[in-house]
Amino acid sequence: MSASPLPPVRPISLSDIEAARKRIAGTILRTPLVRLELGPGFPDIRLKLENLQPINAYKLRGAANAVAMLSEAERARGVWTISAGNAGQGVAYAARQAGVPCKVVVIETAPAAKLERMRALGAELVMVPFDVAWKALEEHAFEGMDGTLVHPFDDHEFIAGHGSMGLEILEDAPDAAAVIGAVGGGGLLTGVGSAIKALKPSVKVFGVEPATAAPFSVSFAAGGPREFPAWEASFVDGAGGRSVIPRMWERMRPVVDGALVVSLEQTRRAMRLMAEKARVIAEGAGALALAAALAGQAGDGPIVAIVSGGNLDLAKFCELIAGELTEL
Amino acid sequence: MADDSLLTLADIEAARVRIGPYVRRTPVLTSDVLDAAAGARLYFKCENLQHIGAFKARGATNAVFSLTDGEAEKGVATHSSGNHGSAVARAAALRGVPAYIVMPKAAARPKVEQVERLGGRITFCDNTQAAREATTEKVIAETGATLVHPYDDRKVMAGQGTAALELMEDAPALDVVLCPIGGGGLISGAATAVKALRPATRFIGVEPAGADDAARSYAAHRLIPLTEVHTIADGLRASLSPDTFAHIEARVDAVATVGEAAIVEAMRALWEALKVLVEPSAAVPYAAIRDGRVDVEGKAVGIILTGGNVDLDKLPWLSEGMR
Repeated sequence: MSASPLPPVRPISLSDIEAARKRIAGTILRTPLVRLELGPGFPDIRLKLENLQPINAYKLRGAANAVAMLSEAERARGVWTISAGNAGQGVAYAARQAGVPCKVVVIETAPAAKLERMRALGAELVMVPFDVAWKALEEHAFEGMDGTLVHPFDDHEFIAGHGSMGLEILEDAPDAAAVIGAVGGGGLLTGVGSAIKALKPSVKVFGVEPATAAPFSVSFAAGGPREFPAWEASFVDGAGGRSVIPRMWERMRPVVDGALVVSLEQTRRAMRLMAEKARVIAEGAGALALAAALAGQAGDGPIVAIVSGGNLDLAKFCELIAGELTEL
Repeated sequence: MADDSLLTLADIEAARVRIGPYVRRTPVLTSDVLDAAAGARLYFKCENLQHIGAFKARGATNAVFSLTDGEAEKGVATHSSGNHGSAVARAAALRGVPAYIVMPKAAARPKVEQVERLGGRITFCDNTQAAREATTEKVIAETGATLVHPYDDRKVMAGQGTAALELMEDAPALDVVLCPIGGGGLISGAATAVKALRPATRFIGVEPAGADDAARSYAAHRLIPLTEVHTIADGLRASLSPDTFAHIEARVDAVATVGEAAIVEAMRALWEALKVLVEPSAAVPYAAIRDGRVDVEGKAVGIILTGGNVDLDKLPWLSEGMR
């Protein structure tokens, strides 16, 4: 099966983002932006709590926008996506709310709890090996799927939905000097960066990855999309890919000012600090931005750290945050 | 006590204006997982995400900012081993006046540090109710400070009620609202707000079976203070005052109780589904739903999650092997 050529990448305009925001208002939570109270001597850091979305991740924004834009005929045929993680849950949730059938191509080794959650949301699951899922992601196609693909990152409307978060950030933190978001596929950073650069280009936009999986950082230094040679799996499973897909590089590069990298230990400490001071649970990817802010990589602030999600097993969370916080 | 002598909606609306600049409008969260388990639509008002991690910031701020300048400059005083002490210290700092906080010597170290960080002046006392009260009286005699009682204070009760005003605005029409009962400050304010805005809404208070003075008093139509307390829900160990009991009698439709295991299970389920930390006291209302103690089938239910201050190294489900 040969995939039809993909439409060329185009910038996410402010009007795309504003229209998305209106479309998704009834589905998503306008999440709070809270100051992390660390006392004197620390930078002014504020957390954008996307882990509080109904599916506990920002992906609901893009999913809700993509589903809301379907025509009547497309609604009847349904939607499909490729993800065992937050994107799959987001598309399943948005589709159920809109009364649209949904299928999800998932990697057969995905955690049972995540698969169960998608089934409970009414999605039909198609289990495949990792390589098959990756090929489907690159080709935007999968044998036997006839509905509309909501690509988990390389999709104009999906990204425009994420951009709504950028509008909220600028409303709630008009004095922000920098915004940091995790880079996985690159959709979050493209959406938020597009909104911020359209409205207030002086605000710095940074992408952050774990040191064990940092292809965006390597690409940023090289000036073009690259693979990450020594990729390692870790508890930060929602960010840090094996490579930056060229189309996503094209989307991200114009709206991003820098690439940051933090260690797994810094990430773990940020998770603990967030639990203690903000009383929220962040998954590994959701703590990367705070880790970078605490390490001073994004300046003196005010810094907005996007807490992109909170989906991880509670026992794993407790294990990761166990032990005293000795230093930041 | 006649109804017109109780707190009114106007008191709570005035509190809301007074404390508006100093407290957070906390989010209302939902979860498809918890809804499916309960067979109901649940709306969680997250006061665990309030400043100092508890709704107590509301009442204390209303009390401190209601004082005249003359009263305020001598400071405020209270006794507390928990969230109320932090709330009073924070409110006093915001008004620029001293806060004298009496704490038992056995108070948890993080709580003491939090009060210190907020600028509270701490006096330690022995770990009995009598010692706390005597020490507080002494501090007040020496300083001229005004007492801000944790719950037996109309300004505190009205401030706590503002959480329910926001919940009623941010959730669709609620059939039932649940909140925990400790000393009764929150439930007095919240039930006043809910019944004034939507009289058809059922208001249910929930408390641990091991600190069930409200359930006993409600059934007997007279105040029966606690003589013995056994619960992990450390925020709910206080006894009602005559005034908070009068509000519960007049404005609450039922009082339910839950056991200790149900509280811990509910706490864990809330962490898992909502991705926020709740302390045991805050899990008590949801425990009543999970344990089938209240009937919410098919209903829209508001639940006030009261606080999120926990010791991360002493979680009730952490086995030794995991530590």
